[in-house]
Amino acid sequence: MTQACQPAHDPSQQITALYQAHALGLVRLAFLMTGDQPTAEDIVQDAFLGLHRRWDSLVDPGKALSYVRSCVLNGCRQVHRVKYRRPKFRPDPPEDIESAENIAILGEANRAVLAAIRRLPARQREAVVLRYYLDMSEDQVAQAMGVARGTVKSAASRGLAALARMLKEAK
Amino acid sequence: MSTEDQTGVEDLVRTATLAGASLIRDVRPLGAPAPTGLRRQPGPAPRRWVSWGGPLAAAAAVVTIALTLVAVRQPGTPAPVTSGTGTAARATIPRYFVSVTYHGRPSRPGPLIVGDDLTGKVIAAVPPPPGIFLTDVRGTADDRTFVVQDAVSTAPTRPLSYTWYLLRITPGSAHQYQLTKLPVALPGNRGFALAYALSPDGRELAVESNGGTRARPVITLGIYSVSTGAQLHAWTAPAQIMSEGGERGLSWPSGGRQLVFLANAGSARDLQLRTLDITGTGTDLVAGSRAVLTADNADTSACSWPHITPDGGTVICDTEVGAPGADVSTACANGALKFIAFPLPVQRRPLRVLYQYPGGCHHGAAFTLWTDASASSIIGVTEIGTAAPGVKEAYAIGVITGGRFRPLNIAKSIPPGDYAALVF
Repeated sequence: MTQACQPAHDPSQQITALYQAHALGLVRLAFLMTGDQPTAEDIVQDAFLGLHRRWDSLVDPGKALSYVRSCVLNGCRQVHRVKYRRPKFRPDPPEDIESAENIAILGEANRAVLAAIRRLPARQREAVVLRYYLDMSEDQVAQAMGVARGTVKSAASRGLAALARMLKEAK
Repeated sequence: MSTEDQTGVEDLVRTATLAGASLIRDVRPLGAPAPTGLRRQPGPAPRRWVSWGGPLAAAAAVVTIALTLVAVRQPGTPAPVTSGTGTAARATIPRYFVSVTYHGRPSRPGPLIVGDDLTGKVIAAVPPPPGIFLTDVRGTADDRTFVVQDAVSTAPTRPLSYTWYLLRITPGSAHQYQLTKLPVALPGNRGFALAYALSPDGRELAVESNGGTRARPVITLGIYSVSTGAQLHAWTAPAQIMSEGGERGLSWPSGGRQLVFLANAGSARDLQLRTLDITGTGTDLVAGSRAVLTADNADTSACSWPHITPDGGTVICDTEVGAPGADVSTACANGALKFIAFPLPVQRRPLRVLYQYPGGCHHGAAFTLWTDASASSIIGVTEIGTAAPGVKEAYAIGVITGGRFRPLNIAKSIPPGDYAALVF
């Protein structure tokens, strides 16, 4: 939580400050989950709109970022439903993430890993990305996913095993 | 997997996700409806046929709206327009549709596109008034009247302000459309509008919004006079039942005596379709309504999204199967992607499968855009995805009658990916 998000400030200003501070990171997170930048941006926008709607009912504004992150994870799971239920936030035509520039930046090995991550079941994908991309502790991942720590442990472990298998098969 | 293997995979994941995330270098500004992302900008004078205006114009508009709506709406008799050159089946299908082109980007307040699905042409592009973002549109009982919503932040300290407009189209005339501001506003201009629907007789607008206090957040379903803007009746409920149904989460069946809204049910936040008798005197939204169908949030292949028919007697369930990225390639096998109609009260077996997608897919979604009074004919969209990398989903929009899917003639300027946002 940034200093600008303290409760003493106007909610609109707090939400805007929160967006400016964390939107890029959250879009990156959603992009890793969905593989599509416009969809990732839509999910994050929806999450902040949800925060705006529920701001008055937020018991602890200091937990706004946690709330938004949970919304982003949920949005990634529900990407199809979100697309149809909130049609006004349709993405622009997706940019080609397989552009020559991106291919050069990523490299073949990283592209294969990212593709494999996106093939994981939602819970395993979340556990792996939060644990190893965001370097969250198991407790933090459990809180973000709304599950028990043991669930995180098993989901991450199964996810890694599945990734190892997929990458091996791809060779 | 050995510890060494696990560490190796962990390192691969760290490296790949950091590289993947680095592809995203910037994000768009927080779009409307947003706290501060939208500011009204000074602009040119309003167009002649767009009524925004001064007190005299507003008063005249209100009278005109009331007369016009009453004239075009007869309770219980949805009136789709005959094409004039089509078949009998064609005559029951709405000919005109509206598409919102605003994509949530403050720098691009796009027009409303009015199209003709008989000729496949765009017949009008309705520009937004200066500084206004037309963010959503809803259909009504005919295909020439639409309700349009804008949601803007008028100042950093005023989070949101909503306005609704009536869009009347008159194809073939000198003036193809008329956009008229309705004098309806949320009480105190507070709250977040969740859904809205025009009454079958066109005299009232129902708006579902959230608000209340931090200690007691509530959702309110209010009915407002479109001629005076006065709130005629309101029901409230704890905010927990608020669904993510969006603007399409509220319907006003043709009988005029009930509203149908979507709500969350239980800890699983299943989607529940509830009917509210609006002739009563109560104000409790939960006590005054009853659930007619609950869609399991975890099983979108059974009912991903329920729609009620205008006669209030049938629920159409869309379905979704598979998911992008899922390791399944037989999602559409055996006709799993379909449109289903349930009678009310819902029985154990579906009344009928309106349409089953016959092909294969890796993932797919079916979505209903319009239905006639009893789901004899609907307009639906199918989205079909394959597992092939880099291949986009294929969209089809068509009329579903008697188990058949007949493609509609949609203007080429409407991207197929936007079909699910068309309003008839």
